[in-house]
Amino acid sequence: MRIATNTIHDTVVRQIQLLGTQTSKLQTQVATGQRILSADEDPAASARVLNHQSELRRVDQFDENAARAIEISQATFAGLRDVKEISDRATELATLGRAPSGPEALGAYSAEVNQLIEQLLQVGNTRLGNDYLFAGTAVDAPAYSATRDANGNVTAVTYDGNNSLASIPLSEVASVAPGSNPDTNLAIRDLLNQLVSLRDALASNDGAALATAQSSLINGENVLVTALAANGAVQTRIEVNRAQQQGRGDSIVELLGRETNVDLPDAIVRLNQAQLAYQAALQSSASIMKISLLDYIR
Amino acid sequence: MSGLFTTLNSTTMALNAHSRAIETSGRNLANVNNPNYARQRVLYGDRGTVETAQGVQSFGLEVLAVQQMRDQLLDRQLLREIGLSGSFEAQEQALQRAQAGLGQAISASGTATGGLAASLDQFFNAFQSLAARPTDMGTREALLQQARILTDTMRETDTRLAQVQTDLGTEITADVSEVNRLISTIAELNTQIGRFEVNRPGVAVDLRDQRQARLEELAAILPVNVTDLGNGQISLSVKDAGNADIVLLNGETVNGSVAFTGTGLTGGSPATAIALSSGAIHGALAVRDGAVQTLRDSLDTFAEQLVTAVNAAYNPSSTAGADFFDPAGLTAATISLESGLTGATLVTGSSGAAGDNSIAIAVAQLATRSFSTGSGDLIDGTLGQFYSRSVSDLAQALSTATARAEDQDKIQQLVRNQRDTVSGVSLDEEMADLVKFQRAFQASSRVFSIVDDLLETIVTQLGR
Repeated sequence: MRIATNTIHDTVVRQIQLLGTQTSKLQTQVATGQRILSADEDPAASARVLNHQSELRRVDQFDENAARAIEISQATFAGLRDVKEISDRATELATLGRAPSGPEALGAYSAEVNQLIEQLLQVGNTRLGNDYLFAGTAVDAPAYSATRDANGNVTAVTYDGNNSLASIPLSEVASVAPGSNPDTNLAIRDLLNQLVSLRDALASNDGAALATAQSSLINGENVLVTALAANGAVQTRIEVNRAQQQGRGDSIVELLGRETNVDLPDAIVRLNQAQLAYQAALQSSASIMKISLLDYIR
Repeated sequence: MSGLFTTLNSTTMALNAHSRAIETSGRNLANVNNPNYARQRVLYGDRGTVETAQGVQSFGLEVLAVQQMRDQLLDRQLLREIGLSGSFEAQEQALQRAQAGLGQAISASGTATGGLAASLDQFFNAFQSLAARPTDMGTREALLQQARILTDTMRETDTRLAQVQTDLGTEITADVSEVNRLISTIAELNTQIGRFEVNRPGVAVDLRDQRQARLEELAAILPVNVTDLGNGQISLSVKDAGNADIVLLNGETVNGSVAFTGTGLTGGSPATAIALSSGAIHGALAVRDGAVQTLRDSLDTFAEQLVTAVNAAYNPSSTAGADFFDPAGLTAATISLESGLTGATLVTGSSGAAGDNSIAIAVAQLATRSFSTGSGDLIDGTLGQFYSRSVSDLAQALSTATARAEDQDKIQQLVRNQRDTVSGVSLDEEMADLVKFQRAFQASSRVFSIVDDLLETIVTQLGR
């Protein structure tokens, strides 16, 4: 078969271009560690990569949600713990008040209870950032407001929050309400009012009223203990969910890697092969193209 | 006496013939790198013989013709293959531009930003953040920022894809001008070939080379059927939808002009719609009105589903002016946020309580909601899946076009190589011919010299 000179040159150039393209592609793969850089290189894998990345971004967001839920939960726990301590001290004072005591001691107990009322009011209106922790979802206003007498002493407390509880999504199917639940919020209001009754009973040395206040305090304590336990359970649940999501994230990263990562040893071997072929093509074409019959005739 | 002069005369003719052969080899060598050139060969022959008293005598060797080595079948096959290559290459280039316009890079990083996929995720994640911090102004502003990034990305993507379509339309218009110019050039070449070959068919070899080159240029844009009219001239035609011929050129006469209607081509006189099957115009039109338009339609559907679903979750009571997205902007080109929406007016819950995050959660959950056309939705699957399918579809179209262009290039190269085995110039072959003709010329010169010596002997030595 006749071979035209142009055919030889064209073939050589095409082969060198082909090998150059292969070398360049493999070099890019080795340099970036990625098998695919544009969607057309593997359309099906590209769609999977986009879906994996989307899921991973979601998992990252759920982790941020979990971190926020932990913040709220821990702040709520700290508040409830303070409430419980106040409740415990009030119960002690009620017990002390019921024991035979002089008017001075009762007056001192009453003054201490009055301080506990102010302290509890402050705890009840605790804020995390801009949000009132014990106000349900009406977080933009203090949860508890007090009515005071002419001396500035609290005479009654009302709950100004609502009975809703906000949940935070921890995954596509799970969410958690890390805040204080409506029953607890109302129990804090009741505790405040019980402390007002206790203070007044101590001040007036009203034995019957003292007994009622003491009993109410003990009953109310159960709600606080339950709330603290529930909060602990919520924190555990958040941590477990967070660990699950982190595990899920690790799995997605692995899947993503399988789709996009280049098999480095394989790519390096193929790059060396392509480079060798490229050099051989250049060498052979140089020797083919520079000789002709012209070199042998005079 | 008369024999020597006859020999002298025939030797002169042989020298002329060898000179012509050397000249032809020289021309072949000069065109060794010209892909449109078909090598030429001199055809030697006797003008005739005559019966004399000394027997049959030849009139001498001469060049009867310079023959162009062309295989018309291979030329036509190459035209067809060039047309297909033109179509696939145009499709590949247009789809590469569309893919670039889409701006969806594939990254190994799980937190890669950029592209519509990341914008969509970040938009829904911003609602998740809002659900976790409904009263935080920073989170609210960040959400609005992400929403604007999403709408801007969609609008920019649609604009870029629309620009790709406009550019393709402009290219087709330019291609059509080129087609008309080439047809006119071929008509002129037909005229010149016709004049040259009135008495000697096939001698206008250089003009035929030029015409073949123009035909190959034309085939890459708009493949035509070539018919030999027998006088050295050709006619060009294309097919209409009913497979009937539309004559574009008949010998020297251009029959109307090819025009772009915006959706297709017309040609001939009267102007008739051309059924395109290959060529760059076919490829560009196929992508402009096919894959790119499909992608834009998908983005519009995506935008409408996003707007309606988000608004339904954000404004469940359908209160006028209380939507998240402008309900009038239902396409990728027009999607925008409801006017007057600010961080302060952003609604997070239905109860009005500051910490109510029910609406934020409802919107955030749309990220994983599986829509169904069977239930009256506009898409099937999640919004993210729909988008990644659209990306994958475009990528598949590009991958297919690239593979077909590569395959077609190999086929075209194969046919071109086959043609070159007939028409291409071989340096070694021409050098061998050159030596052969040189030797023949030297031999004829020697004969001439010997005859001259003999004549000298006769003229100066005889009769002394």
